Amino acid sequence: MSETYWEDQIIGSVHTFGGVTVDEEQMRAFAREFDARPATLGEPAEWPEISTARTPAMDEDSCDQDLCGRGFSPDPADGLGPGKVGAEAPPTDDPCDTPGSSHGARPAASELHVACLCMRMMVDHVLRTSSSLGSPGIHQLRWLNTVHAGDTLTVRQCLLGKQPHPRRPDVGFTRNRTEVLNQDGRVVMYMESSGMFRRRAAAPATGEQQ
Amino acid sequence: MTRRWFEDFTVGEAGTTGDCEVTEEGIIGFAEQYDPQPFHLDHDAARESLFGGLAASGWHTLSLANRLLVHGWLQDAAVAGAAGFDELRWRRPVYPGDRLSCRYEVAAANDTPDQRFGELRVIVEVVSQDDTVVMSMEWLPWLARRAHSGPRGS
Repeated sequence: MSETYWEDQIIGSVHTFGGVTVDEEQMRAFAREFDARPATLGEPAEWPEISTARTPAMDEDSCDQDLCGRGFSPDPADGLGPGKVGAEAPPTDDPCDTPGSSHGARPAASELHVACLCMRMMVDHVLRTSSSLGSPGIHQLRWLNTVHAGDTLTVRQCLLGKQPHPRRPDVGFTRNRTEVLNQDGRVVMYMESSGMFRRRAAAPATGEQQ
Repeated sequence: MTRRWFEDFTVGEAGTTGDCEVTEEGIIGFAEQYDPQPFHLDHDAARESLFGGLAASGWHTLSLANRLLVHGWLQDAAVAGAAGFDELRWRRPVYPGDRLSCRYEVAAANDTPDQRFGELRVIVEVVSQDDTVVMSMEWLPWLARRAHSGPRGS
């Protein structure tokens, strides 16, 4: 299998991949180990859970798989706010809105578990056949909708930019926008992150590189 | 136990969590599930990598930080979830045997579009046993407000 190097990655290209169904046992195990709260453990709570501030159900007028579409409203304070989809909806009489009432039947995934499932899909479909060297970090990550056991998640990733490493001619950086979508086409998470990749051929060690 | 609500947190609250040890078994187990890249799974492959040895997935480090914060600092708080985080940096590799703890400071306490909740902006530094910062981020947990405790926010 041929390896994808930094040079092979095309700015503006979009890849959609994945299709992982969220496993309840794995989801609960993750929650117990890293993010144990009533909502993720499926236990009653004396307070409301963040999922009740998110979009309760898919309707035909919902966002069209694009963060620029309706439903995404950046926080005006810093432009980097959470932008909750449907977050302005007032509390309702929906029984699912009562703290703890429905969690036993359908626990919510830890948000972090969703991010880790996203990483697994990126490894399986992109990084495993690439010259990936790891990642220096994530500029921004937001969880927009709650994920439950049985949901099916896919990833859509766009390469936003590339930069050579300032000192290592054999290494290059990438910048990606990554979205995780559920089976209804709703964005449940997005992030803008950096990656490091081995370059195909070492560029000259001195002088500006393009 | 006294429950801590959003109103009970003030800007400037700071501290350090307890610590946890990162084991080789933990690193490989996490990587097998969520980040099966060679440098998180195999000593020989890791030696050839930028890490120079078997290193924890950054997502593992982040998950351990979440455990220290949610199960430790916020164990009595009405944590409702998290909106996300900004400017996460994996600054140094984390190796088997490292002991990690989190330094945290509340930088802001903000309203959210849903009045039942408030959002903290928490500066988090994950440090190893020799006080090296291995990861940092601005974390955005949501907490329920006291006024909305109990069934139906009564």
